[in-house]
Amino acid sequence: MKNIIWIAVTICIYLVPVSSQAQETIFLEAEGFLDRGGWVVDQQSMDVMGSAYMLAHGLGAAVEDASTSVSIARRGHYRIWVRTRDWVAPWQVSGTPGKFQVLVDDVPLLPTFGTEGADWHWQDGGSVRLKKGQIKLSLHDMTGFDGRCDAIILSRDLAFQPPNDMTKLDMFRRKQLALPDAPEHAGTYDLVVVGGGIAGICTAVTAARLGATVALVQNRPVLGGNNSSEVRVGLSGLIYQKPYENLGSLVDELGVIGHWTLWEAQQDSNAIRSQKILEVIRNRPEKKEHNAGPASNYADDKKLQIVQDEENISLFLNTNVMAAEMVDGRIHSVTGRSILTGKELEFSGSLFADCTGDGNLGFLAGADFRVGREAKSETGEPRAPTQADQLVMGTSVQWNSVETDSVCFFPNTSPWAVAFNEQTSIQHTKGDWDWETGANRDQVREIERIRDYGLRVAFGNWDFVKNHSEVRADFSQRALSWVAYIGGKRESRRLLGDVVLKEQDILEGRKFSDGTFTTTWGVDLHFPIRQDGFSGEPFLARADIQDIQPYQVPYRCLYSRNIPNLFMAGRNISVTHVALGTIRVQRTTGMMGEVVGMAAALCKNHRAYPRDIYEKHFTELQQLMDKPIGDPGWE
Amino acid sequence: MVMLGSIDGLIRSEPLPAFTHITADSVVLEIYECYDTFGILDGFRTHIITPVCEDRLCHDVDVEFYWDVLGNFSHFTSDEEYPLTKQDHIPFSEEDYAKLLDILRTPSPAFIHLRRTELIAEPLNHDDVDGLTGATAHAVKKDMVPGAIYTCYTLWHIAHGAIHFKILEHTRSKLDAPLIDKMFSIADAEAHYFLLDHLAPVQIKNYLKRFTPLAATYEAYFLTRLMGRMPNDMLEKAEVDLLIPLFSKMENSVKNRLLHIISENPKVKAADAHQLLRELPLGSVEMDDKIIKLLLAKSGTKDVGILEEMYDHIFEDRIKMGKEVTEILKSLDKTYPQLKQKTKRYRRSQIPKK
Repeated sequence: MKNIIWIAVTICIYLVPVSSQAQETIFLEAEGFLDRGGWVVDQQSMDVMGSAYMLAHGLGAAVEDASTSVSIARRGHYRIWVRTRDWVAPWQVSGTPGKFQVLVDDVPLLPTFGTEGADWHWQDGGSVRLKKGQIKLSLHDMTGFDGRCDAIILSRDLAFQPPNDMTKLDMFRRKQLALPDAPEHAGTYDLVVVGGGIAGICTAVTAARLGATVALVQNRPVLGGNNSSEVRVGLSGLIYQKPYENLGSLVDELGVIGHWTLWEAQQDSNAIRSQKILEVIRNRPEKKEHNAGPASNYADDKKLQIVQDEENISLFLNTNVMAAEMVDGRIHSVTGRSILTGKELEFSGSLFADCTGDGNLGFLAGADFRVGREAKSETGEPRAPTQADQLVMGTSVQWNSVETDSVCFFPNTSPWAVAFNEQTSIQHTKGDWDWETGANRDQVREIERIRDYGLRVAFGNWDFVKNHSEVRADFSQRALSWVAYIGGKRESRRLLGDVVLKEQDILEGRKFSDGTFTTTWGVDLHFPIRQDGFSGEPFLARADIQDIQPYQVPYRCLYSRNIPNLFMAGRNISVTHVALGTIRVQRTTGMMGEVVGMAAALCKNHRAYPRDIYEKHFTELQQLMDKPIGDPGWE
Repeated sequence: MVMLGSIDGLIRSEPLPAFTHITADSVVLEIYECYDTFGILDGFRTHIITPVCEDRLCHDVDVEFYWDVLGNFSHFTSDEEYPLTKQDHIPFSEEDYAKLLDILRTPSPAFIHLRRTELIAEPLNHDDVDGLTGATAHAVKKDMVPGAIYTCYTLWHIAHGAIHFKILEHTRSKLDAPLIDKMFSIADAEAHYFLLDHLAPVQIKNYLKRFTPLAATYEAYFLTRLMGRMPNDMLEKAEVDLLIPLFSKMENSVKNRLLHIISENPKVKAADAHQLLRELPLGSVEMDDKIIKLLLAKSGTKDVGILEEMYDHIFEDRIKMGKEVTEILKSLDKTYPQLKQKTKRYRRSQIPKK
């Protein structure tokens, strides 16, 4: 692999005293701090707010300070502005759980930050006198309950007020960070894959193994998406299905052993693969925990290693694609912005694959897409509603807990968290997939709010169960071990291809001439449910599953109908809301990736577009699908 | 769980099934409507006879299931002649029945994540004596009647499966004035959200006076959904008047929309909008500015009293405005000479203190 990983790129460019204002203003991105301490970087809302931010996600225990060093060229008074927000203010509750201090040389500024304003804004930190030379600037979390900071400004102009308007702020930010007008060119590739979840990894690795040069662009520091240790959704769906019984070999090579591999092994316990899986489970029984299990269950390192081992792949972690440049209706290049440094890179390519889940690339390129449920009159689907609407399956904010050796403490979360009582609380020791919310909300633009509501629920419920409920004694030694801060999304934009797969295609087993991978998961639709006596936004979901016979999904669902060089793999392929219920699980999306990777390699060989593969070269794709692209190494 | 009327209130049901439902085990269920003493739809029932064991070694289950109009499982009855049984045909005890009822009323039992085939697994070795798969075995057992795992699992999935959605769809088709009125009258958020999601926009407009008192007691999400169901052209002055007092309960996106609607509607006067002043400061300078600008745009010479009130509120709560609004407030006396004292005080308040 060409090593272009952005984990530790020159952070120093991020602490930029701006020459145009004679070093009067110093702009610091919080996520660019030299030492992030216990704070984590959250980029989920980057498309909305233009930048990633730092989050003090300490599960109720204050996280370690983040700190950086700032060079002060001229001594004197500086006014300090901190971009932050009171993250529970959208619910009109008090309590300011996200409060934190900003320390200058270990001395706190007078205001406490994160205490006001529902929206991101610049909070006035007052003025301080700074000496010439290096000073230490720190973020000091006060609660462990998700305080957040986007950026800090030190200005010698005491009357200066930084802009809050997004467009002005973006221009201001670029200027302050001295970012060039044009992004740096990061190469030209046969295939640019945007999104490093299971579908994206499989697309990139497959294409690379078949000879294509690939850029894999992922907006998190780890690969795996929903199956990473950041989200912890287990891999579901069956692989190695007829008629292309080798599809899924790469998914298998990724090697995340867990719930479904165990189930497969139990069906045929004499096979060598089964015996090896059973041995792993015997030695590591925690791997049976499908969702919200220990971080090691999700094998981030193994996924990274497989990608890094590919000579033809250039991997760009921590890079969020923000723009697409179109030429003659085709994507010519995409621009990614580092979530750590703000630096921008341009990736040119012949072909692009949208594996973002949210259909971000398709959206940027102007691809046709759909959000929400189609009406029955439109699709004729048995489970479609009478009227079309925007309901989607929600985002999971999973969590887990561990038994400790002694009684442990969890803070009071009133009044800011969601309030529970004996009737409404959930006395579970973990929050699985069904801790799902936001079904009526925009999964792209409102993701911070959706995730935050999940946090308010998880913390409020845990506080009640552990500290106040009738069963609190059972929870006295139990401690929260993990709560997701990256939401596990199920559905947002679905990009439209030449075929839009419908429910009845699957239920009636309608055969398409261009069948590819086989989906096996039941048509599994989630709906929000409401606890008894609870009037707020739902936070649990129920699954309505219609079992199916294994079904081959047509190739024409895997490319855009109006952007000629755009593939899709993952939950954003061309299906209706109902049909999404079956294809969205990750071993299935991995097989999509294998198919798209193969098709991309054929496109390269024939100098063709995705649609041409269906029209002219489908037999070759069938031949490729017959062969394993992965080597799980069981034998 | 919504209890529309008492269980005993299910006094009558139609002779013909409202619809049929086929379970995952291919058992055909006929679902009947039930009515209360006023003849208004009150719930649904069905008779279930189904095998529950993989090996058919146990007796079939024979029970009557009841749901409310929102498809929430209510309760079940069984015939003394055909009691539910556990392993080895041991009849359910009273405690077992009570436990089963609890499980069936639980919307999210621990086994919700498991498929039937995952309930029992072959032990991986001799030490692994726990028959239940996964790390949730302990929790799963908590939500099971001992010796009747498949019964609990099968019946819960009937109670909470696709039939729930079919009932919702059926109830939606039966929404008439008496049923709507009944659903408004009960103290349950789920019924109110159901109305919100399933009444046509014009009906929501007509029932707005019933919705707004609920919105005042519910969380902001209710108002978001309420506003989401009504297009702008449906929100005329009468509707705006009902919504303005709920401003503080609204999410920001909804607040912005309402402010836009107010600004676009000439029938909404400064006197109608001035109660928004009470909401300041909102924690967002932009939003505070919007309200002040809106009020100024709506005001005329006869509204000087309202503008005086505006200044008083800004002084009292030391509200910081944005640059543009600050400049306007400094010189408003040019338009309204009556505000000379107020603007003078405002200008003084804007001089930075040393």
